Amino acid sequence: MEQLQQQAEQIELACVGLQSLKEQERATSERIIASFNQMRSPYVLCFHILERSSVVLAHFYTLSTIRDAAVREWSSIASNDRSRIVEYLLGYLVSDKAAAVSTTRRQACNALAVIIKRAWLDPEKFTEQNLSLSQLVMTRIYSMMSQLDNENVLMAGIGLAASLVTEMSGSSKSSPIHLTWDYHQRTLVSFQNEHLQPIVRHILSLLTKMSFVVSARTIPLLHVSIQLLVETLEWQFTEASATHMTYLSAMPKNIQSSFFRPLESWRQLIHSTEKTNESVNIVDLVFGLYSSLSGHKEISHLLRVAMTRLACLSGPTINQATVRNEYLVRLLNHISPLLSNAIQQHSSWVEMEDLSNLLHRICSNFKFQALASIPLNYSSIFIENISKFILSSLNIMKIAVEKGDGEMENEFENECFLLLLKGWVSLLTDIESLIGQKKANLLEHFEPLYHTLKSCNDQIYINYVKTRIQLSHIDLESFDADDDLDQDINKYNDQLKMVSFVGRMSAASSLEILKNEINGCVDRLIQQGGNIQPKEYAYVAETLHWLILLAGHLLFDSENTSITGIPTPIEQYSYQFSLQNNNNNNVNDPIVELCNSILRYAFDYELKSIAHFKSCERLSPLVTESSMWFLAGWSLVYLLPSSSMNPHLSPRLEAAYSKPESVAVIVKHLVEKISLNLEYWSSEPAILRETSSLLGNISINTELVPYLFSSWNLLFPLKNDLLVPTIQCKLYQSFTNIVYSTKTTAELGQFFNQLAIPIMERLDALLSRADLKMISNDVQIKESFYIILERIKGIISVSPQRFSVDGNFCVIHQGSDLFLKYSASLVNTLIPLYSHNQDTIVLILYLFSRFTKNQFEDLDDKRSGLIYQVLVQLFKSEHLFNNVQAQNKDFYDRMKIVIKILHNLVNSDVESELLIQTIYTGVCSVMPSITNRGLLDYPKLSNRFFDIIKYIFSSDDIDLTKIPSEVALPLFSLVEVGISHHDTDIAKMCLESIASMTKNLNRASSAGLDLKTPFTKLIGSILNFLLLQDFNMDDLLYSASTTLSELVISCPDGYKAKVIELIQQQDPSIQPLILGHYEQYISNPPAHTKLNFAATEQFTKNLKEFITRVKPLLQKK
Amino acid sequence: MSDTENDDIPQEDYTNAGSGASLTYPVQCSSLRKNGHVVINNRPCKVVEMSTSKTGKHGHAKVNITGIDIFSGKKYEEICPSTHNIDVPNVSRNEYSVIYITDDSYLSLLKEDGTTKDDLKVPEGEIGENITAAIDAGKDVLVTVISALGEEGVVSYKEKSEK
Repeated sequence: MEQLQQQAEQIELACVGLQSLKEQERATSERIIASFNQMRSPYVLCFHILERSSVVLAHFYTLSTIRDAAVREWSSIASNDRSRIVEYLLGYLVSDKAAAVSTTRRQACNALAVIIKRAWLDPEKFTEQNLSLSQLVMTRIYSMMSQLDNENVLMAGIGLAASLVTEMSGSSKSSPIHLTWDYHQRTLVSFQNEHLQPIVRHILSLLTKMSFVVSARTIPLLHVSIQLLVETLEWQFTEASATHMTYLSAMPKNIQSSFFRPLESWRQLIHSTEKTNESVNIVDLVFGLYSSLSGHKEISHLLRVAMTRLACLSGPTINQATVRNEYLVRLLNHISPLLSNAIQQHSSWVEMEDLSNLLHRICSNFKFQALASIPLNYSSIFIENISKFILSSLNIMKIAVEKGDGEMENEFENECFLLLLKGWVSLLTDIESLIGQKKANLLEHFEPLYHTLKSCNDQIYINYVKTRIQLSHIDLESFDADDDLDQDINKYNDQLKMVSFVGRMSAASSLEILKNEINGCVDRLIQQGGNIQPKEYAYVAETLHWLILLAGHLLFDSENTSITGIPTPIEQYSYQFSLQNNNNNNVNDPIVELCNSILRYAFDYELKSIAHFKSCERLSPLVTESSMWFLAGWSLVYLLPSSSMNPHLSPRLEAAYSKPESVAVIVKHLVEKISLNLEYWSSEPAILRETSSLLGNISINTELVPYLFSSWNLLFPLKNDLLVPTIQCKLYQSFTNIVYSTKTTAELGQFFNQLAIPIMERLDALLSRADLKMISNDVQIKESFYIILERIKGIISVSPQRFSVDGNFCVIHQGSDLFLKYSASLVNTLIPLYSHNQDTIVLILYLFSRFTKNQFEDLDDKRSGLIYQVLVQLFKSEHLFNNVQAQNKDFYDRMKIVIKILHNLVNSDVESELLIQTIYTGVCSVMPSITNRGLLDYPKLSNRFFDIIKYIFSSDDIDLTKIPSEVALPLFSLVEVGISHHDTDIAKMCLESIASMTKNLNRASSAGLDLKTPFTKLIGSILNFLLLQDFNMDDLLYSASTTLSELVISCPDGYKAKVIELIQQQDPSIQPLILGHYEQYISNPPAHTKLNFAATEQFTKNLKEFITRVKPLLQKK
Repeated sequence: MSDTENDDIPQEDYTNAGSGASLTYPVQCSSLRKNGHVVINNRPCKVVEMSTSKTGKHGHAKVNITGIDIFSGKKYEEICPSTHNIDVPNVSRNEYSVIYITDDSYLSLLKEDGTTKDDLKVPEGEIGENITAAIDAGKDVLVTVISALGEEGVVSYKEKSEK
């Protein structure tokens, strides 16, 4: 007893010490608390502390110690002791000590809830009623929740129920209890079916009663009750059928959790219409409470969360149209006054955020379809209100920026405006799909509501455009030169993409406003010429920049990298427009008008300005960049628009962008622009990037390429030899595209020579110099090499199989031949010369990586024989890694690409003995570097590497017995170590590698190889992994069990020997228990795993049971 | 060594740079690369950081370069308009075996052609101490010597694996 008291006092002291100002004291206290938390069977000490201590923190840590110890030791606690622990905690929860401090009570609730979850499936029965522990506790909770006259007990009951719901829900808030996913699912389903609804009914009736008498005294009680309600509304319902598991795991977590999807049995509860003293409808109750509790910040926030959950209602209770419509009307009836209020009063920050979320949920859950089925007086007011809410949020953003509060504007933009926009866009996309599926006419109020929505939509787009420009003008004044430039294209990409939906729905007005505004800006620039003031110029440029971005997003999808069709709403609008104005030749197509306004800027203003001043000093680089971005995206969609992708192409659009004469003129202008950009903007990489994208996009359109041939001389050779090398790579890629699109072999050869001969001449001249070694470090020489190599990289980045020459499909070897000619020099001359030059080495390695990716599969035998030789030399090159000193980043980068090269080889379709030999050599040479330099800690790199190893072990083409032993032995030990890698994917790959290896070797064992020893060793490693390491069972158990059974079949004696060895290492007291479990569960693995899926499944299950029972007993060494 | 010895080499700009070429070479600021070299404050530096900023949102880019002196390890910064040229030093790197260390702390190095090079001091700091210790212990030591802008210095060393 005395010793107990001493220990208790020590813990109390440590708890006080945790808050000490002295670091030393805090550290000591933390150590004591940590070891207390890990103590074995701490219950007596814990109870002692809870009974006597007056230190709040001591109660807190004691409760968490009980919780952790109970979860850890549950399987070895005798059943009477289990019930004693639970009983004790239940008693403690209703005691005055727990009630005094809210954190202590919450901790007690949490500890109890976790333990109850752990005990949930226990079969033991207690008391004379023959109840299981969980039933016993639930009965107590219901009785606690009914004691209306004893507030303390009532609060404790509600708190415990809330904690239990959290723990059982399997949400991210629940505590870890180190059991399998299967266990969580079973407890979840059982709790959901037996207790969730009774708890909700209980709490609803309690809240109904309390809603009549809201007073300061009842507020805390209301708070916990509403919290419990919210917890239940966040429950992820699961059908208790066999398919639910696949269903749940197939759906991403965030999609699941965005719905409130109660089961059929909840229909009565959710949709009840009777109003009694005992209960009211859940929606009415929540909104009713909200209006009477609006003064209480926290509670009203909770209630808004509840509203949002109710807005997410879906699933079987609401799948009938009438029920859904009634429910929606009920919701909207309550929401409309809230919205109008918020719009008028500019309510508090949190409220605006919550309401935005609520609206977003309603829109994306019910969609336009549901809104169009309910009476118009509800739906159209709702639509108008959302649009007003969006406009007012734009307004608030403006006010925030005007006040100089950029952070507030940012937060508001993300938390309110974007959510609202998302909601609105989900309505728009629904309309599009309704019209597409021809369902619109079936909806009663589609037309009038669509009309309302469209007029609101017009306003939103126009307002957005204006606000965006105003905001950026205000920003312009506070632009800080020291800021790293946040490019608008990237920063606002998502927002602009969403806004494009809004714009496309209102195509007429959006095309019109953008065209007018852009033309206005260009007019101003042209009229004022060189006389424009810098400040005024900045404003016009800023406006133009944004307008071009908006126009681009409206007309095409910015992430396009191949030829695509015009966005449907835009295409249809332009088509309708041409039908309506069939006879009026004075009206041009609105798309063409908008594009022309931007082309006017690029050609009439910029091009002329550069030609006139012979400089780009007066132009804004940012506008040039955005206009080039526009032209690049535009050229994929509108220049020679594909007739197969655009079924309703307007004749006027066709006349403008499809007729050979107009295309020729446009391409000529574009090429002129490209070549001027390369000359004048060579110091702005961003512009060059967009410029080369434009050329690239034109060059991948084989129909457009013929137009480029006439301007070839303007583009090639590059006038500026010293352009940024990466840009040169992109340009050469486009040139190669153009060359490969020639129609005859003779032409191909002629054009390719123009590309390749200068490269070859320069390389030959450099490489043949006798003094190369001496001059190699000169910057000029180094740069020369670098640029030439970037050009070659561009050429070999184009894979040849897409092209046909002379009407026949044939492989173009020109690119590969160019690379192959110099590949040996790259490895034998340049790598040794530049081994200290990280960028040159990395570039050379990239060349090999591109080559193996794009050209390798199309090589004939002669050429591939050559590349194997060079690759072997590359892998063996001592200069590649030896000279990188301790700078791990450089080393990592080199290694990453070498592994990429190997990965490309492994993933190619080529089958050849030489290839396999090359891969061995590669693996052999990188393995020591990877393991010795700690690169295995980097998951991405290791992942790739282990993928290669897995290929070696599982490929049917490779006879494992023939692997040279210097490769095989390190590989074996690597996969053996790899199973305990911290990255689950890698561990899984290693397990699978071992399984395939065992299978492969088994076939070979008939050849007389003795595999018993290595197999036994591997069995030992896997058993150690399963029983002594913490790992994610859901992810790894299946692979581990198939691997183990594969090994056991091959070597049953080794398996038994290893198990016996393991058992003998344990404490004698538990040896018989483990042996019993072993014999019961896993002593008889399936005989032929490969043939019998069910047997493997059964073995996995048994193994899981074995691990669950045995693992907690074992001592980790 | 000069180009005239090799008649078959086309006379183009880039081949003219022999070992007797100038100490620096101008490039456009925007085409500098990280890990490359640059001259800042008349010191040869390795570029460790590059970023662009603008005088206004619609102004032209300026390049901010942070470099580390390859000899002293000191940090230098430079801002220049991206259209301007900036000097890049010709940096050459050689490895020599150390024969011995003289009493006044000079290294006696063995060149590839068999002659010796005796004009380099043992570097200060850890590298120097380690070299001295290794030589004292009778080990064979290789030093890496970098030269740029007419200056030379030992930047690293390694012990020869086989004795």
